[in-house]
Amino acid sequence: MIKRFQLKQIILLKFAVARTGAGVISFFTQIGGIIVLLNQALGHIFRGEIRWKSTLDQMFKIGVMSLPLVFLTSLFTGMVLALQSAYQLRLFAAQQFTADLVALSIARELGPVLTAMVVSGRVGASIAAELGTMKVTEQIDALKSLAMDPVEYLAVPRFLAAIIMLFVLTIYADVIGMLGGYLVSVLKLDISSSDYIKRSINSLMVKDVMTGLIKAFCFGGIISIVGCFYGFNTKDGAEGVGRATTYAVVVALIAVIASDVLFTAIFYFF
Amino acid sequence: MKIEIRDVYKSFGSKEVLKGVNLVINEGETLVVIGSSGGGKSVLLKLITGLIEPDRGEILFDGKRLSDMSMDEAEQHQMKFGMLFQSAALFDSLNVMENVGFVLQEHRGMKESELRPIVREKLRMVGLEGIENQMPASLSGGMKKRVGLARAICYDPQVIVYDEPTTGLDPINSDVINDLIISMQEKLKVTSVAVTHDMVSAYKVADRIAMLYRGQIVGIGTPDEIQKTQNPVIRQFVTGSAHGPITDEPKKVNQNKNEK
Ligand SMILES: Nc1ncnc2c1ncn2[C@@H]1O[C@H](COP(=O)(O)OP(=O)(O)OP(=O)(O)O)[C@@H](O)[C@H]1O
Ligand SMILES: [Mg+2]
Repeated sequence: MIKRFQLKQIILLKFAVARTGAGVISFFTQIGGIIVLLNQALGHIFRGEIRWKSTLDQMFKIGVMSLPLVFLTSLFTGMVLALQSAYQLRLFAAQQFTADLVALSIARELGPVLTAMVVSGRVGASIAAELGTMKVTEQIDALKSLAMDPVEYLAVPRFLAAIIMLFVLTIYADVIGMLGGYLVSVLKLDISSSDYIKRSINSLMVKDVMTGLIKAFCFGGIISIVGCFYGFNTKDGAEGVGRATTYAVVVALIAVIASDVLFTAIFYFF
Repeated sequence: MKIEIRDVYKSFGSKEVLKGVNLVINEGETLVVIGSSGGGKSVLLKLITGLIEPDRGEILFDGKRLSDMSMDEAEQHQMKFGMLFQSAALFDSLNVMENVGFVLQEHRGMKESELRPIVREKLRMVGLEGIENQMPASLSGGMKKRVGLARAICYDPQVIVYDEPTTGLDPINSDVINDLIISMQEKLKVTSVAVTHDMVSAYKVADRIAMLYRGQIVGIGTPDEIQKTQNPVIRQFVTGSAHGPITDEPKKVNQNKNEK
C-alpha cells in the first residue's frame, strides 16, 4: 500500500520529470528551429538572392561599430597573456618564448573566441532586439503581406555581414593582441623588439592562422542566425523583446564555446 | 476574387479564438466584419491574407487552397492582397516613400524617380501630402494609419483587407477613407474586407455586414437588414448598449462559479 507521503513524493517526482521533459523538448525545438533558419538562409545565398546594399549596411553596423570594443579587449588580453606567460616561463629561464606563446594562443584561440564573445554581446543582442521589435509591431507580418520573405530580406544580409565581419575583426584582433603582447614584452620584460617580432612570425604557421579564421567564420554564422531566430520568434511585446535579446546572447555564447571545443579537437587531430 | 472560409478553427495556446467560422466573400463586394474587442477579427483578417494558417478547416481563393500553390504562385497570390494593419505596421527603418512604394521597388524593380509620382498620388488619395521623406516615427497615429493604407493600395491589389481603417482619425478624414474604400470598389472592382467598430463607416461602405461573436459568424446581412435585425446579440452590438446578451452572459458564468 502506498502511504500518503509516498504519494506526495511520486507526484513531485512526476512534476520534476515532466518539467525536465518539457525543457528538453523545448531545447531541441529551438535547436531545430535554428537549423531550419540556417538552412533557409543558405538556400537564398546559393540561389543568389542576396541584397548587397543592406548587407553592406549591416557590415558597417556589425563591423565598424565593433572596432573599439574589439581593440580594447584584444589589446588588454595580449598584454595580460604576455605578463602571465613571462611570469611562468621565467621559472625555466625561457622568457624569450613569450612571443611564441602569445602569437599562437591569440591566433588559434583567443583572437576568434574573444571577438566572437564581444560581438555576440553587441551584435547578437542588437539583431534579436531589432527583429524582435519588428515582430511584435507586426512589421514582419507586413513584410509577408507584401510578398517579401523575411528570411531573405532581414536574415540573409545579417548572416553574410556577420560572417564577413567576424573574419575581418578576428584578423584585426590577432594583430592588436600581438601588439599588446609586444608592448608589454618590450617595455616591461626587456625582450628585444626585433627578437620578439622574429619569434612571433616564425612561430606562426599558416595553419594556425587559418584555424583561427575558420573558427571566426563559423562564429559569425552562429551569432547572427541565433540572433535572427530569437528575433523572429519573439512574442508578448516589449517584455518578449527583452527575453529574446537575453536568449540570443546566452545561446550564442554557449554555442560559440561549444563549437570552439569541437573545432579545437578536430584541428588537434588533423 | 471569391474567398470561401469553411469551418475554420484557430487557437493560440489554450485560447480558442475562432471556433468554426464559415463565411463567403463574393468577388467585388465590400464585407464589413464587426465584433467585440479581442474577438478574433484581426486573426480572421490574417487568415484571409495567408499570414497565419488555420488549425482546422480551409480557405479557398477562387476555389484554390494556398497549400496547393507552388512557391511562385504563392508569391503572385500574395501580391493580389493589400493589407492595412490595425497598428499600421510601417517599416520604421524606411521613410514614407520607401514604405508606400515597397512592392513597386522590391518586386517590380522601379527606380526612385519612377516611384515618386505614384507614391505621391496614393498619398494624396488618403489625404496626405508632402511627407514622402519623413520617417514613420515622426508621424501621428492617424497619419501612420493612412500611410499604411497607401502602402496597401499602392500596387493595385485585387483584394484589400482593412483592419480598423478609421480608428484614430478625425470625422473628416474618416469620411475621406470611407469614400476611398467605396471608390476602390467602384472604380477598381476590388474585393474588400474591413473590420471596424465605427458603425457609421460600416453602414456607409458595406455591401454586407457580418458579426463575429464567440469565435463564429452569428449573423450576416446588408446594412439595412443588420439595422432591423431581431438577433439580440447583433442588436446590442450595433446599438452600442451596455445591457444585453453580450454583457449578461459572462456575468452568468461568474454567478455559476460563485454558486458552486
Ligand atoms: N499571435 C498571437 N499569439 C497569441 N495570441 C494571439 C495572437 N494573435 C491574437 N491573439 C489572441 O487572439 C485574440 C483575438 O485577437 P484579435 O487581435 O483578433 O482581436 P480583435 O477582434 O481584432 O480585437 P480588437 O477589436 O481589439 O482589435 C486575443 O485574445 C489575442 O490575445
Ligand atoms: Mg483587431
